[in-house]
Amino acid sequence: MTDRRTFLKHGSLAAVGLVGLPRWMRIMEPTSSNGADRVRDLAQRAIEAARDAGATYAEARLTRQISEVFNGSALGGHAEEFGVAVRALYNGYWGFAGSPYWNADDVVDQARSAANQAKVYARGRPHTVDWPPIPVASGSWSTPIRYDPFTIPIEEKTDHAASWEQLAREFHPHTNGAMTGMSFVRRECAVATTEGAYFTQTTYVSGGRFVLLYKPWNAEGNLDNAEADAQGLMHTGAGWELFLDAKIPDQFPALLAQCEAQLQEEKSDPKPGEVGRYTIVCDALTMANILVNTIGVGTQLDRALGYEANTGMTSYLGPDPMTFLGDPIAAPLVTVRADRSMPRGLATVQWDAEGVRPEPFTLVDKGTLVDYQTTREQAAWLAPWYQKRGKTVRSNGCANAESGLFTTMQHFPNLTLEPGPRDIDFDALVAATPRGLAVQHGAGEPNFNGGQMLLRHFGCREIVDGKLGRSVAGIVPLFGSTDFWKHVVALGGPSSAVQYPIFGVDKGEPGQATPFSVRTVPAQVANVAFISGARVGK
Amino acid sequence: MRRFLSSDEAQALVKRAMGLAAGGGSTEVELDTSWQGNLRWARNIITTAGDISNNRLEIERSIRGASGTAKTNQIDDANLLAAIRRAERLLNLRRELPEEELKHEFIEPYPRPVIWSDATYGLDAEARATGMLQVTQSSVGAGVQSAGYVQVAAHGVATMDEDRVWYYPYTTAQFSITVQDAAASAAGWAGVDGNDWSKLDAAGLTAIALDKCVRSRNPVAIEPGYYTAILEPQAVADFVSLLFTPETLDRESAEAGPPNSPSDSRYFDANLHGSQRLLGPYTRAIGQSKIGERVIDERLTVSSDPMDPELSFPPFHGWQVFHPVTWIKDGVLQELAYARSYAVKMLGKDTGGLPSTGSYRLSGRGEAPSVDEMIATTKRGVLVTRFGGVPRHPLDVAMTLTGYTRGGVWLIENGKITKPVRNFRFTESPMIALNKVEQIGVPKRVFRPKYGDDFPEGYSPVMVPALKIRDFNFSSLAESI
Repeated sequence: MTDRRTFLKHGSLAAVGLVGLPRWMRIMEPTSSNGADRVRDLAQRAIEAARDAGATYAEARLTRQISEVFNGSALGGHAEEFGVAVRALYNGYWGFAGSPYWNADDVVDQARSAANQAKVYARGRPHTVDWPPIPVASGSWSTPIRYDPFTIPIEEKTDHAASWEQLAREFHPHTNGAMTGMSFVRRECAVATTEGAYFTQTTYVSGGRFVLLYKPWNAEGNLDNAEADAQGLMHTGAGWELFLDAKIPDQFPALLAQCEAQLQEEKSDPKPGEVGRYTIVCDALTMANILVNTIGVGTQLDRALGYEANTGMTSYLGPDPMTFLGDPIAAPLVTVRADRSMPRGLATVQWDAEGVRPEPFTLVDKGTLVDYQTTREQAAWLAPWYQKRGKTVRSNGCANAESGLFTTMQHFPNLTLEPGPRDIDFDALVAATPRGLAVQHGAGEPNFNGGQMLLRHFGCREIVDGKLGRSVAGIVPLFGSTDFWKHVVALGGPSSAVQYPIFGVDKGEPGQATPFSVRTVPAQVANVAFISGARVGK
Repeated sequence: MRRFLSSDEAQALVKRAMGLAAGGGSTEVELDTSWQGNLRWARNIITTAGDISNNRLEIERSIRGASGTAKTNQIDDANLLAAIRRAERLLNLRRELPEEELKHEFIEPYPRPVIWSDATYGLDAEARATGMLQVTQSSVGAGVQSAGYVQVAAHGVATMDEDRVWYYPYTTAQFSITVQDAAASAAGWAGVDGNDWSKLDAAGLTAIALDKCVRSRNPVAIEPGYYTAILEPQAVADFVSLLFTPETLDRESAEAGPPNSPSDSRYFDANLHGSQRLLGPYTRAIGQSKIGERVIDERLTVSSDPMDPELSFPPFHGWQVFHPVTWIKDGVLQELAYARSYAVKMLGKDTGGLPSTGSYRLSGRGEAPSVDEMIATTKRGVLVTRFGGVPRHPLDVAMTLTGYTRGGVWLIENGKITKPVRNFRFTESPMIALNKVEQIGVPKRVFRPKYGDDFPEGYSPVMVPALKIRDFNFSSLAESI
């Protein structure tokens, strides 16, 4: 007979969970009278009111976001947020109004407020916004998922986590349990524009963490302490199936081995590192953090042009993007693409917040900067470049907003560092490095404007004759973005690619951040400067 | 457009919510109802401006110590009922507590600071436009590019249960501006926040930013290293505030050290430090804090008081009342923050807790020289306007931080500013730096709205003086403006 725990162990509870429970436990939908017709009616009323108030263009976004966070079997919380956002354009100036009130009178008031603001500010210096026409967006889209996590009873979710933790405790005399975290978000959005667009989208983010805790007694009679993170639970555009498919118990042997290796490594003192330049091999996570904070942030067009000067900093690929486009900013084997269609990508949508259907685009083509992240308004700022290359001037579909309480602006699409031609992985890159350093799970502090990055949080091991050696401490890499990317010597192949969630890089005032995914491969990079850790507090 | 809920509206809302809760137990509601007006500009053009309102409700249902919470921003009956049912559903997952562990709130009167300004609440789109169009025009006239932000907000924070309603309204206002020259090779910054828009001198701050930009042109690179640093108040706040956050000042954390067991909920803390708990700057040993020890320069005192007329903040959060506290007096750690449960268990006091908000006044005793006077007495040093990129989490127990200078940095030689210099990355511990203080200026209100204006998570007003600090570690050049 197959018991409940065996089901969990093999990740096969989905059908049982859905079929075996009464309906009142299966559905935990908020009580809401917001049917599709009513939502459309509210959105239409808003744009009509904005147009009547003089707006030459307006868009209304009605949003609803629900989220749940669990820490093991103890619930963190449940939250629901509604928003209505109206953005209006008048004589080159934008006005905005956001509120939680989904009713006819309020959305009309709000739309008038947005339009009136635009008119007030339009008394300033003459200004134009190029607003190239786009195909009218229409329809509905949803993140492809198998199970909406908000239709799974919370008891089932917490049971699932508790069973993993119980199995972990029983797995080995010294596995001292585990910690499970789970979070789920569903964002629903309806957008109407004065150009006749109306579309609805529902996106999902699911993810969490499972940490195996290992506490054996050591030779001195004290408890050692190690832990290892399971794979398969990183936040992604998925539903409850992420947890069903993760096969966590199957990973216990590997996690235990990681813990033991960790304790073994801790027993040997790290080797003091020497200041100098090294060939390094970075894992995919390190490359993800570097990509986001260098080329990723750098190619946000508004940031490059100085629009973030008063807050999170401008970009090293500015202030005049035209002087950078067409220039090499990386080694010829480096290609960076952006899209909003990556499977399970956190920024994946059918339409952006302005109704643009995003197409994948290339930011860095074989080392050369060829594009920036743009919205509809921003695309025109690069018109000479596009025209020179015979390309149509069109938005790259990067308009987004944190919620219906924030105005639309340019935000990150999903990013991909294209794999190298040979299907090699981190270990193969290490093997191909006679002498150097291996840098893993690196993160640090970027300086967007200067294009510098300092890695402070990372694991570092020496590479000797293509083999990983002792841990190295006391030195940290500090590099300029372009210098780093130009020294990329080799990249991991397609099977070494890993997709990571990024929960946003703060932008704008008031500050907002939107999630996206970044897919990277390990890399071998030459000539990276390591400075004394004492100079930077490590 | 609706702005935010008045006291009467909040009370009516909670009465409705209480009526919807059924099945015994108790219900508690926390509310932050808000309106915000903003205006942003860049490249001398207003890029976006708007009005935003919101109601953030957190509803907690409790039965015999088991509780569940749900958040919503909807205030109609149907959605309130849905949130209450969610909270009730969640409390079923929690265990009930034995009688002796049941929470009994300690209710005490709260002070009534003046933190409402009609001038702030009245700064509508028309008024914002009038002022800021002048600012952008002056930047155009000076041949520079300015980017900046104005935000005014009004909040009503409330805590309510079946027996009482606490409601407190407050306003916030902020202005900040960055001016860059046409080549984006030099920058100047100025900014401040407060409760009262009429007390913010936008024109004066614009002039300061313009002047700093002009004086920052053609910066030269000087060797990184240890310099005497004169930090203007904004730079001091950017640098030392991490020492006075609620997390850092938390007494239980300072005494507890590493987790005792995996069931310690704090153990699973997905921050940059991984899951191992760090000892804090106020930890003497596991189980022992540094209360009673001198931790910073003996001329420095750190306090917070909701009634401080220059630094007022809402007087409560939940049922926790904020009291006037001197955290550090004459360099000696006097108090650390704690919850009521800590007071009962560890201090044997059946009183309320001693919470911290992150708001603080850093003041010195003795002479209080101006920045110019500090410069005049400096043989060789660096003058810093502000810091950027300072992480929210330190790397080590010494609270070592890194970041970079922004908005104007100059070399001082023989008592005078001699030249603008290229920006530096710094690597320094604020705890150590506050033990290397040479001169202390007059505390001034600075710009602290980095994390928003929601109280207490984001809104933490700060008063700090300019400081002259010896041997400040400017660890490398930062290729930025």
